[in-house]
Amino acid sequence: MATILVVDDDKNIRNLYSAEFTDEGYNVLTAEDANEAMRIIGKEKVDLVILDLKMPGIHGIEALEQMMIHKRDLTVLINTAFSEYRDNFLTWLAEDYIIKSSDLSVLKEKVRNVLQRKGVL
Amino acid sequence: MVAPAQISVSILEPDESRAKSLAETVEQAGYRISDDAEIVIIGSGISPDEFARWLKNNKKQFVIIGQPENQQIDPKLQLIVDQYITEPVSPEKVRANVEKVYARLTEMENKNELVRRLEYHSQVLENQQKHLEKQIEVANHECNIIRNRLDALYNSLSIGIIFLDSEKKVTSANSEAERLLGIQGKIIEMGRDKLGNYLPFVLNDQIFEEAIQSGQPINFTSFVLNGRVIEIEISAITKQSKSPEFIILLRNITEITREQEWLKSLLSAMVDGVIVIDRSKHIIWCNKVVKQWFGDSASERLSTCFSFWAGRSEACPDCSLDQVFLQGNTARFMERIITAKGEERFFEITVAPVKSSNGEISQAVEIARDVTNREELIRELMSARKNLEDMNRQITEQFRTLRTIMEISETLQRTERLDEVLHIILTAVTAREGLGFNRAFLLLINEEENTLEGRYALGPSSPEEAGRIWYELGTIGYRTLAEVLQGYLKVTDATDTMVNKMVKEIKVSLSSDSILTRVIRTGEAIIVSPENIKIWEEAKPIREILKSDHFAIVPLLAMTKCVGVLIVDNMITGRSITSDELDLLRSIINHASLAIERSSLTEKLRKSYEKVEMAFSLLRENQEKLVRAEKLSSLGAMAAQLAHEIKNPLVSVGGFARNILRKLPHDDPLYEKVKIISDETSRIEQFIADFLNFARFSKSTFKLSNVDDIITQTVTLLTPSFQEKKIKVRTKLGGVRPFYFDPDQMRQVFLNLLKNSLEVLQKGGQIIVRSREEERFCWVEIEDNGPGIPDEHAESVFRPFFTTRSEGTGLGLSISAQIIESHSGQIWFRNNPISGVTFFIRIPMTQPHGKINQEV
Repeated sequence: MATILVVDDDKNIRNLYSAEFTDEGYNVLTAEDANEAMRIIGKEKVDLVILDLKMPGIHGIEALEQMMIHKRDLTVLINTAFSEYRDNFLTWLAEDYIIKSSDLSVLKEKVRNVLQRKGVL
Repeated sequence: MVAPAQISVSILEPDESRAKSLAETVEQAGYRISDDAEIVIIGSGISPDEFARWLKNNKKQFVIIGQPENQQIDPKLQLIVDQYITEPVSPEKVRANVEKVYARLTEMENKNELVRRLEYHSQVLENQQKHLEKQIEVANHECNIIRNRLDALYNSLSIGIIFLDSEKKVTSANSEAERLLGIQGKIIEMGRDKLGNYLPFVLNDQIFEEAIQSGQPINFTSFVLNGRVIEIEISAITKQSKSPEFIILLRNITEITREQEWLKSLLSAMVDGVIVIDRSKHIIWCNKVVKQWFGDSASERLSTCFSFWAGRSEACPDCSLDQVFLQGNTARFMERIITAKGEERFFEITVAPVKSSNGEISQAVEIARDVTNREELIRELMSARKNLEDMNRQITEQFRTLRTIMEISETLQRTERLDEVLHIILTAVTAREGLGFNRAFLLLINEEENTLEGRYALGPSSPEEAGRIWYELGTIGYRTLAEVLQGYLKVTDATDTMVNKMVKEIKVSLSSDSILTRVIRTGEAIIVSPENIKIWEEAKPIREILKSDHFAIVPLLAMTKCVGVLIVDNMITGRSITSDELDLLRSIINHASLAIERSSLTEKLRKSYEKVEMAFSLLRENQEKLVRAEKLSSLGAMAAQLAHEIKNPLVSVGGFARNILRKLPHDDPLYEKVKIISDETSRIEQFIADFLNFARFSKSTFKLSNVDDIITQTVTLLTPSFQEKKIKVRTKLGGVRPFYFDPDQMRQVFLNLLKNSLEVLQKGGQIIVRSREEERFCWVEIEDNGPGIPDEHAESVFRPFFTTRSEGTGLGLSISAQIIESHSGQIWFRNNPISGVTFFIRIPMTQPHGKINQEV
């Protein structure tokens, strides 16, 4: 069973994603900031990270950079309300850049595609 | 006779039997018996002592004694008994005696009454005498008081009084008289000789005689006694029986005299002349000043007011003094005299009434002030004023001229157009409020042809036309020349008037020799008139053209260069032209010439100005766009922040709604409600996405792209929606060559426009999309046959947040407009003639604008 880590400072969002992706048949872990995310990545086997960018403390982009340094083959999907970080080339490190929406169908499809491509599913 | 029954009788008889017998007899006589009657019958039984004792106690009663005839009556009794009845007593005897006694009693009573009255009267008299004595005493007392008062008054009077008897001996004198004479207390009984030491006139009999004869007080002129000035008055008191007595009154007039002296010296010291005049206008007194005016001849003139001032022998007519005497007014008048030295002097005379002690106006005082200097000043002033007035008139005239010039100059400055300048000049020259010439003709130099040509003229061609024009001008009611210059065009706007035709006939070569070229050469103005017509033979052609033989030709000199000439005349009124008018005309013309030169320069200036203006307006337009963009972007930044803040909660709300929805059976009562939450959340998210797009529009990414491809893609994208509403979409693409633009943004534009049409079109509607390339511009037109855009929305459709649909964001068209603008293109729309609207997009294909993505 593939494991997904949801990094988002908004508790409701974490709950929503947890519920949705558990329904989809994934093992879902959540972190409320970059530090916690880094701890989990260091401990657990994580197949995919869904990363929010605008968070208190360490910004998502910085977190992304640290994750990639720590674990080069980590697959990260950026999921944010802001479209303008697309212009920041660091975001290119991520597998994809998805605008947050209450409709999770796009996100779910991307997750499925990426995991299939990686041969996890 | 009194009836016996009316008379009562008392009986006094110690012996009872006798008394009884006596009483019977008395009763037989007809008398009543009473104890206390006035008449008492005394019986013979009574002893003389007893009788005397009784008599003492009853004095008022008379007694009859009845004694026996033989018995001797006591002589003492006989003295007091009235009647004596001898024994035996009979009623007849009783009656006879009682009657006698009664009669005597009555008589006695009468006498007593008289005595009583006399006594009373004497008492009254006595009382009266006493009263009188008392009154006399009171009167005497009062007399004394009055006399004392009179004495006090007499002695306290401020007038000395001396009484003389007929021998001129002093009988009385009051304290003031004693004080004045300085002989206190010793004056009484003083004889005439001694009194004469003090008052010498008492020695003069004639004075006293005069006082007696005249019967009136005689006044003496005052004399000085003991350092006092005393006025004397003598009166005679003549009584027929007695020899005359005299009263001398002495008045101390020292103070009055001093005041008079003071007044006199005051009046003498006055610089003004003072003359006192009586009612007959005789001069009573005058001060020294008056006398000095005439020197030796003063006394001749100083008899009457009129002889003095006017040298007349009788009163002047309308004499001012009459009013003073009649009404008590003060009068003022001027007099002029020639003094003894032969100087002319002017006097201002004030006359005031003087009242005598009885209140009548007896005199008048004239105070004459020498105002000769003032008069001279006034004369000088008058002549100076006349000079000033002359100067003022000149200045006013010059001012008027200046103002005329100024008004013309100001009006000229307001215009730069040559034809207006010419018109204003001619108006100023011909307007009544201006120079008022009848006609004016303007001729300008044509430098290219080297000629002088008639250009413009103003004025009536006939007296009838003059009348009409001047009447019309009169009805307009201009007040100043400036107004006339502003409004003159309204009346005389015709350029094809007779005078205009005349002036156009004039065309002279500058190299020829005529009166006009002479004026241009010399710069001197010329007046041609019937008087000098022979001198100016050469003016003949002009005379013939103008049909006038009196006119002035003035050069138009601007910056020493002559630009033409002006001809003026007074053909209608025939008024001759003066050199003053010519001067004024020349000064105005100088301004005019400058204005003519200036107007041609201004014409050139205006053209370059217009170019600058155009550039400036372009600049301003761009600046406005910039400001608008700036405003929008700051608004956008703020709103974007807001949108992001909303986004996260929305994701949770909408996400959970969908999560629940997926798990609910479709027939669950909650299903529809949760779906509403899910849908509405999507709507808000869509709105925010659109909005963020709008706020982000400036970040265009230009790539070399194909517009036709983008159109096709967009239409294809929407095809399912079109099919659903049975809307026909046709594309007529013109093979536009690829150029640099942002394909994503452009897609957004087409999408917005097509979606708008889709929204408003009914089933069976139609959309046509056209594209073409035209002179390096890409044109795209999207036409539908919907309801079109109402006129009232025409201005607003491109404004952010403007929408007529309940679920629209109102950003579609505004984003589209921003995108097109960022491509330096234009977007606009036009409602179609029958139905629907067409949007036009025009984008330059020349250069890529904005930010170009380097990676591409």
